[in-house]
Amino acid sequence: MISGDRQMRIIGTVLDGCMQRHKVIASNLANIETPGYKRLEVRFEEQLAAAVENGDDRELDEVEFAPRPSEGLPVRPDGNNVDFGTELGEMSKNTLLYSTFAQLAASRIRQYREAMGESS
Amino acid sequence: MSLNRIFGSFDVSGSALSAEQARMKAIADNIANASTTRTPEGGPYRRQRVVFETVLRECADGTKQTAGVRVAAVRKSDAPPLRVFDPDHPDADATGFVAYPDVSVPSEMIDMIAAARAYEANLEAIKNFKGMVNKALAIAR
Repeated sequence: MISGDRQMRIIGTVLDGCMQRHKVIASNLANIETPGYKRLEVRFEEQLAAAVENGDDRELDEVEFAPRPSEGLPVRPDGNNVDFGTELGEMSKNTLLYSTFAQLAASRIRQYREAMGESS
Repeated sequence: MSLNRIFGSFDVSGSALSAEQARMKAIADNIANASTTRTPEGGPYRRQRVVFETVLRECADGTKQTAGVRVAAVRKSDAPPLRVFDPDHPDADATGFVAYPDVSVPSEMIDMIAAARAYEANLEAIKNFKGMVNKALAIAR
């Protein structure tokens, strides 16, 4: 990644976060019938927004992707609180977000190439 | 970032595909043996049920992360067999009752639909992940 390019670092953070979140959603779907399994989620948007607003590059590196248990969900009799539809919806949303930011990264790199006079 | 961490999503969803397949097999066994009155261990067939458990993997920093699912056990039902009055049946007891398995075919069918749906959802997760990886590879193309 081109260091010093703040926008690229933000894009990278989102891409990393989406990758982590996909894994957690995949884990929720995998454990949809596991008794006692509690849904996990990755939320990084608020922290990222704060880091972007403060304009501190170090804060960008500190954005956390650690999965945390979701709260306030109805629990089934087997102790599991994963809902099929929610996970599929979250998965589509996450994949789309990833695609969008991958596209942004690609066009950023294209800009660099053009600036360097490379024909693309 | 190790390869395992990058492609871990494949393992998670893949483990779920095998687990759901095992569940499907147990359901197929149950339906196939819904009227079986003789088994090697004696007595009627007993309904099988797979129990899933979460696979945890320890990360470098000591925290545990979920890394998929596996079949913890295939449990045989302890429910009493269904006793049906059929004195002509070769396995009828002295009072004319035959012990049939405690398998309810409609409820197995419902379970089968749930297993098929779960299988598809996990397949979809693999497809989505593949799309994401391809997008990442296309960034610098």
